[in-house]
Amino acid sequence: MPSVEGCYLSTDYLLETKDLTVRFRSRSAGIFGESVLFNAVESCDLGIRNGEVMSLVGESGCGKTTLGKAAIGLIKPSSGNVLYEHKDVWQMDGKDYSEFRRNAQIIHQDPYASLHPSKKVYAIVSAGIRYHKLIHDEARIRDRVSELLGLVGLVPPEYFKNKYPHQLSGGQRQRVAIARAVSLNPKFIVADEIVTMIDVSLRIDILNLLLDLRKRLASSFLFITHDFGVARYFAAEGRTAVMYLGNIAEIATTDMLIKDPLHPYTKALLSAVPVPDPTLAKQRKMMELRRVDPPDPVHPPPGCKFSDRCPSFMSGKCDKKIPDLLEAKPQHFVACYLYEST
Amino acid sequence: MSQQESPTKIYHIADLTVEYYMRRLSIRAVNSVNLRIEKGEAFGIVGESGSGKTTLALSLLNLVPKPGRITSGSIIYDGNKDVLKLNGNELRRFRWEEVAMVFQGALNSFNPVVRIGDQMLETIDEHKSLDRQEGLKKISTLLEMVRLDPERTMRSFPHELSGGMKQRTMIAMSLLLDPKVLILDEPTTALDVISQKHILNILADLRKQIGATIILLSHDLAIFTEVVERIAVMYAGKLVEVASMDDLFLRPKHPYTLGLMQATPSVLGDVSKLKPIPGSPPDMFSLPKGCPFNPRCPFTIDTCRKVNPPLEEIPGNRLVACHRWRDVT
Repeated sequence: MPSVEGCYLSTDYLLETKDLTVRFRSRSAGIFGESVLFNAVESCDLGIRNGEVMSLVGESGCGKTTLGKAAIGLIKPSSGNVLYEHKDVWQMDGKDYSEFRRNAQIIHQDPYASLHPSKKVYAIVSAGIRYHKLIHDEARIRDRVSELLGLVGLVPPEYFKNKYPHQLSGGQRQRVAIARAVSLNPKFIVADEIVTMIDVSLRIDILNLLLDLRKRLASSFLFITHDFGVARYFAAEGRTAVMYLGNIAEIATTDMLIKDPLHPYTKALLSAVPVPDPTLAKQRKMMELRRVDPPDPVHPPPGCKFSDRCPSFMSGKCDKKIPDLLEAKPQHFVACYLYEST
Repeated sequence: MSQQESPTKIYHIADLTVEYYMRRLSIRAVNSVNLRIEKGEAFGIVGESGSGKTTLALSLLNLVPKPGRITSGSIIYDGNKDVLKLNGNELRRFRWEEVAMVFQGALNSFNPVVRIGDQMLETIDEHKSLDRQEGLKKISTLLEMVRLDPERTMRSFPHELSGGMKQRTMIAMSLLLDPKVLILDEPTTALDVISQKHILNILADLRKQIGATIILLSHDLAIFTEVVERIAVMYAGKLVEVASMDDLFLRPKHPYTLGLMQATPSVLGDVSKLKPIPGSPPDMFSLPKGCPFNPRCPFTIDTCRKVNPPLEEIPGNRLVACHRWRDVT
């Protein structure tokens, strides 16, 4: 099966997921409901190259956070592999694993929940440095924390070091979380909906900060978001993947994906995104779907999971088997039977 | 917008101030707001979290929760009814029968163990003298209007509906008593974009069908382009700009409106032009002297640090509260 890795030398990849499936147990409705297994992430192949930025777009509940967490080893796959520098994360020896842990970091969505409420900023940011014993000398740890706080725009660092998270605004907290994530010079960062809880006027500021850090650190990013506009801004020079109910529907360079989307789901999403321009908004029409409401993720339709809503549904084909992610155009991968022969 | 009093105004809000009292401190969530909303128009209020838009909307129903208090001003409904002077029973009738509100996060406020149909019938029984058959007919019509299958929806329990379906049911429910005004607070915030667009389309259609006034609140400028004719922009409890949608988007006159637009990433257009609004959102406990936006504003001059500009009418039937609106382009 040709898949994403077909198009690049696979030695390029820093991080890869191969046929990755994460299964969760969900109790169906009611207190006496039976428990059901369902695939939050199903057979996902995703490869992120050294220094690459990839946006991962999907609606809430599509499995994008689960995929992100699995990619940095926080959730164990039910089947399939996560490879970091070509080594399986779950088969690594202690030394390699510790190295991986240091190099793969995550920034969570909610800066109100992701920082320890009774630790000061200094302790929060220096925790990783201490754990991995990168610096031993306390005075140098202090310098390093100051440097990190300066880097994320919390100046003067001396002022912020001794604050508790509750004394900071949402934007400042998210900056602390960013400082913590970059404190170990990671090669791979998962940023999970990091601006969703931030005021609109400050979002671009946080995104710019991260883009700037990316250049300095030369890290790779997996940027998870539900907002196509934000995904486009962050991965303007990278690629974007679209996820639907546990499967990757489409991957292409961000530019190509927005100008020439192939998967009917991507097309539907893009046609529904509101645009802050009244002239353009009047010309846009939402793509007609067979059904507007998404199915229960625990009981998706058979075959392609978008088949029950897809306007291009082909009976006897789309409802049989999940389509493979194939290269329909150069560098443009799509999992849809419409593009099977091309 | 005519500044003359006329019977076409559904709401006339004059000098409204709402304060929240906490021990020794108090904040002005709504600060001297003057606003007229026309009968039958679709009106938007945009503001970031903490800007006071929800408090303003709650005052329209005289529903500001403690420790909040409306400390000055008047709200005249439909030319003659002073909302702030209604007594208990009058208020009970006013809310939902005249003005209905779909609250933020309302999709979680259904009773989880009662079928949707029964929850809706309960509302009708409480307020109207319709018999069961007429009631059911009314419910079906409304559910159809929000593009739901009436039979199936009425039989469902809330957990059997998706988020978008629940929100549409909530909208149908708010229309049960034929209100003349429908207020929606962030009605699409928790929903995916496809459900969001669907709801906005439904709202636009509803307006044509029932002719109600719609007041839509959101932090997201982009969603207004779908339904709204006029928009008010709120910042730190103040209205800073009121204009028609086209004017606001194409020719913003307040630096904050301009800043918001430049800070909103879109899937269309040039992303390289985006830039953040500097500084941080206002601390409501200690607002700066003068214009509350002055520490973040690229147009600030000395006057801005001293005098808080009033909302004034400028050419083109629009309102703006800025000393330097002439220079904003």
